[in-house]
Amino acid sequence: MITIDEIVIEFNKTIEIAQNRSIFTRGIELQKEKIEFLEKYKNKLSLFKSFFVDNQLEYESNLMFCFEESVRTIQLELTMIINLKEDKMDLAWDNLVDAQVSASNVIRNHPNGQNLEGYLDKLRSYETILFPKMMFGSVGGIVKKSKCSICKDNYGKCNHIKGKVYMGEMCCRIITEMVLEEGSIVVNPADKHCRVLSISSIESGEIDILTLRKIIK
Amino acid sequence: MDYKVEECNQLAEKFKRFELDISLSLIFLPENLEEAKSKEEFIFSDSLSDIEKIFKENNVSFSQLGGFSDQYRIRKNADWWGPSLFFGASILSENSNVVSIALNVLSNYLTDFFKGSFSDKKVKIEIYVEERKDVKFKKITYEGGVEGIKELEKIIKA
Repeated sequence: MITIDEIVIEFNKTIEIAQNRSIFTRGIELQKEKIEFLEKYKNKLSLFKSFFVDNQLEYESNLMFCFEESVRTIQLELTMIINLKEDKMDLAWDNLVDAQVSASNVIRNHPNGQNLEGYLDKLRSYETILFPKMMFGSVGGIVKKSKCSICKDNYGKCNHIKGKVYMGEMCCRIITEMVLEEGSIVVNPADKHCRVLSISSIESGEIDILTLRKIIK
Repeated sequence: MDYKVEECNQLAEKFKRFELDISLSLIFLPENLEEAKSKEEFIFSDSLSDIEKIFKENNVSFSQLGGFSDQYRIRKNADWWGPSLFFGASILSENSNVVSIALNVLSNYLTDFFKGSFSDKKVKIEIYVEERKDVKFKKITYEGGVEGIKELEKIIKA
C-alpha cells in the first residue's frame, strides 16, 4: 500500500519532469508523449482519490483533486505550446485560459497554494507576450434558479461554497434558469473564452483577431 | 481607498412602505430597493448566497430584507459585486463590534476568493448606515481593492 507521503514525492517528481518539457523549444514529439504520460498519471491519481473518498478522508481527497488539477494544468500548457507550433492559435488561446482556470482552482484549495504564484506568473506572461490585447463579451442577468453541484439542493440554501473543494469534488453553482439583462464588450471579463474573434471592414473584409489573416468563408 | 458617502434618508420611507423590520441584526438589502414595488420583486447581488454562508460559518448574525429570495443579479465581469449591507442604529449602539467582525470576515473571504486571479479584480459594495433611528441614513459606495474593506469601519462609524 502506497502512503500519502510517497504519493506526494512521486507527484513532485512527475511535475518537475513535465515542466521541463513545457518549454517552447522542446521537441514537439516529446511534448505530445508527455501529455499522454500525464493522462495515465492523472488516472492513477483519480484511483487514489476514489480510495480516499471511499474512506471519507477529506484532506487526502482534496489533495488528490489539487494534484489532478495541477497535472491537467501542465497538460494544457503543453497542448497550448503544441498548438502554437502547429499554427492553431484559437485552440492555443483556449488551452491557456483553461490552464489559468485550473491553476486558480489549485491555488485556492491546496494547503500550500501560495507556492504556485511563480507558476501563475508564467501563465500570466504567456497571455501578454504570446497573444494580442483582446476584447471580450460579457452577459449579465437575473438568476431565478440555481443548484449546488455537490448536494443538488437550491444553491442559496445549502452550505457549500462555489470554488471550494469538498471530499475531492469542487463545488459549482449550476444555473438552471436565468433572464438575460444585458450583453457588453469588456476588457476584464469573468470568462476569457468569450472573446471577440474577428473584426470587419469594407476595405479589408473579415480579419481574424489572433492571426490577422483574412477569414475566407 | 475609493469611496463616496451620500445622505440616503429616503430609506426610512421604503422600510415603512414595505413594513420591513430593520431593528434586528446586520441586514442584506436588495439592489433594487428604490424601484421595487413589492418584496417579491427584490433582487439581490449574486454574491449574497456565498456571503451568507461565510457569515453563518463565522457566527455573524444577519437577515435578508424581505426574507429569502431566489432572485440574484449576476454580472459576468471579473469584478466582485458585493451584496448591499445595512447597519441599523440599534445594532450599532448595542453591538458596535458587529461592523469590524463583518468587515473582517468579508475581507478574509475575498482575499481567498481573489487568490490566483489572472486579472485586476475590484470589490464593489454599498453599505447603508442608520445614523439616527428612522430619520437619518447614509450610503457608502466603495470601489477598490480588498485591502480597503477593513478601513470602511471608520467611515461607517463616523
